[in-house]
Amino acid sequence: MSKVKGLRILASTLVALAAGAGALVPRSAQAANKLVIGISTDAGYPARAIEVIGVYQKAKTNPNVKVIEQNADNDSSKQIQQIKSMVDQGVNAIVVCAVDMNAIKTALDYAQQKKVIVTLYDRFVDHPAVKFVGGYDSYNDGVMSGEAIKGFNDGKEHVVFELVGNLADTNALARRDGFHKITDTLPNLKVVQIQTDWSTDKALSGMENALQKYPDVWAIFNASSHMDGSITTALKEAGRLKKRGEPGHVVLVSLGGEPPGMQTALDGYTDVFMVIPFDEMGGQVYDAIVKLASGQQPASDKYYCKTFPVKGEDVEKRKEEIFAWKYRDMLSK
Amino acid sequence: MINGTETSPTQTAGPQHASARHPRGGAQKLISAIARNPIAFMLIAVWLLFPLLNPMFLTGNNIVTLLVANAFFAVAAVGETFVLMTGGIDLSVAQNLTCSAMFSALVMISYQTRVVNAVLNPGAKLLSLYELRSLPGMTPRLLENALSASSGTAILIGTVVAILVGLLFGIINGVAVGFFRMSPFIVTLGTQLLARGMSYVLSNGHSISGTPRALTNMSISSGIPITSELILPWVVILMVALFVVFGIVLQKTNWGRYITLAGSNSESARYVGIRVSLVIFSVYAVAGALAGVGGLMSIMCLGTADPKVGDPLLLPIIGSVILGGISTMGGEGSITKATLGILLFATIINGMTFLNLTLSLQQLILGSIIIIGMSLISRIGSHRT
Repeated sequence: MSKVKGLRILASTLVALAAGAGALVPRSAQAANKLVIGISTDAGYPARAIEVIGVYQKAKTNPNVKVIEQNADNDSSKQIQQIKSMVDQGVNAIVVCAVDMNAIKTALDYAQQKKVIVTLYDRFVDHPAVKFVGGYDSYNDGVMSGEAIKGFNDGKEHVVFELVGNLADTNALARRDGFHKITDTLPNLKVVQIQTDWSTDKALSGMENALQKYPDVWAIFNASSHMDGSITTALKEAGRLKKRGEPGHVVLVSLGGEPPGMQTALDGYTDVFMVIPFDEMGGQVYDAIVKLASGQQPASDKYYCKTFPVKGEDVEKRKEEIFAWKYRDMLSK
Repeated sequence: MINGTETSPTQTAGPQHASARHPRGGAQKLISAIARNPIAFMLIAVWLLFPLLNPMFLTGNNIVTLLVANAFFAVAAVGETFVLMTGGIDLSVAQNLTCSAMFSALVMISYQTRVVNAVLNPGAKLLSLYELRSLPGMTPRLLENALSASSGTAILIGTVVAILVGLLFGIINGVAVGFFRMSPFIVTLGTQLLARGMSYVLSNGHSISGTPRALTNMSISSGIPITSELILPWVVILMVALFVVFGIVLQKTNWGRYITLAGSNSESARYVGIRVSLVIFSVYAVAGALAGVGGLMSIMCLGTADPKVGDPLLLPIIGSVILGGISTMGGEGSITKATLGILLFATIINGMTFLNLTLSLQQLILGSIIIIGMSLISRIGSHRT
């Protein structure tokens, strides 16, 4: 058989399959008997696993529910393809944490077109297809963190480092804005922003550079506890890593509750650990999906986890309330 | 002597003697066909395997999803094919695609902002589209209508800008490699960093949204209807058209032949009067322009210009065409081979996603397939020589 003839046959076969397959295999074949939930996560952060753990826990109790998950590895075009694939597989609902809040809209359009229930977690996207959001009030979290720093303020002139997240992430922007709502009213505090893009590498290099310029830093606000390890490493290199109560201690307010932050707090370096109970999120999203799938409306179109502050000295006592401790076995894998 | 015709024992025994020495069964023919076209057969194999593992793989919706998701990198891969056939390499193709998308998006948004301001807020200070929404008396419908009216021209301007930006990077590469005979690896590494840096400066590190809705619709809802529920989007049709056009150009034009000759033996090509420097320059320029087209298509598929879109693309672009059988030594290849490699790569990614395999397993499998594919190709190469 010549190459050209062989390729013609191949091409014809593929076109025939494509043209006929859409009519032969109904979109909802897989979903006929089950509620299928597709989770699309932006990357494999530990917090993401905790945020959706409620979906898996509740789905396990219901034999008619199946959960599938895809990790986009911080690639927005991959996430779009993954979501479209899940929709094509016949999922009834998707639970999305967007890599890029703008690019994801193409995938949400597709899901809406195919009448798939769209819910979000962690990151809010303004799109008409979205029926429910599980998240947290990042602006208020920033305000609470600012209040925590203010609680240590003695009126003297001080430098405060603020680790800022990815500026394409609405949560990062909201935390920053909330924090500045308080610190902008404290003229004696000079806030130095360190751009991290949520990266521990950038957090480390940013801290090292900032400590070169401001070796007498007084306090640090970390907008996400997963970067606490970078903070302690940089402080140690600069000879500034001191525990609470020791001379020269740098006040640390850490927002999130992730394992590195938990460890830093248990080691005695954190002054206020702002814990976002991420583990509450998934269960709320699941309940909303079940209601929407049966034609009902959930009581609210959003659920915000209520962040609570834990003083550094109380972390050991209250560790059972913190997800990084509750799920430490799962998070350590 | 039989009927007056003299025959020799050898002639009488000829055909039977030949078949006894070289048996040609169906199995051997099949093995031989596979050996000549390993990637084609790998492609058939995955298209048979994935539907067995998940029947939903073979739906029209999923096939369209597969084609749309890979359309923009596939077009850039066509340009890379030409470059590889000259014995060179273009490492800047992915970031060129990104930077072209950035410029194109910014120009389209800027144009539409000016036009919409002229219509809805004449004579006043120029407002962003976001600010226009909050103007007293402004309704979403009014704004939407004004945007729709200007989107055709905006898309045209954006297309030209994307191609020109891509072409500019291609010209830089072409001049350096073709005329100054600099190392393609080093030159294109430099332009890659240049393009990436420019993308981040233009965008401040985050994606740019607000491009015309009609452009995004070209990957979702506008195209040629196949069934009552299925559309073949324009972005796929554009991809196929470019493949066909450049396939014909490579096979049927003098330029296409010069590319092959320049890649197989540049000295011999010079002796027969081919201006090899000019051919190489033109190849890089065309590759750049195609990367620009890919950039525009990325906006169609993503709805935004994303400064990070090119980061994971270099491996699929180069890897898929080499997997298809384009020789890195130059002088050998075709758009058909590149198409097979791209289709195989895209199918494997899509299929593994469809099977909900974990990311780490996907990477393991993809790496294994690339090694197996390359081993098969190099074995065939050694048999032919």
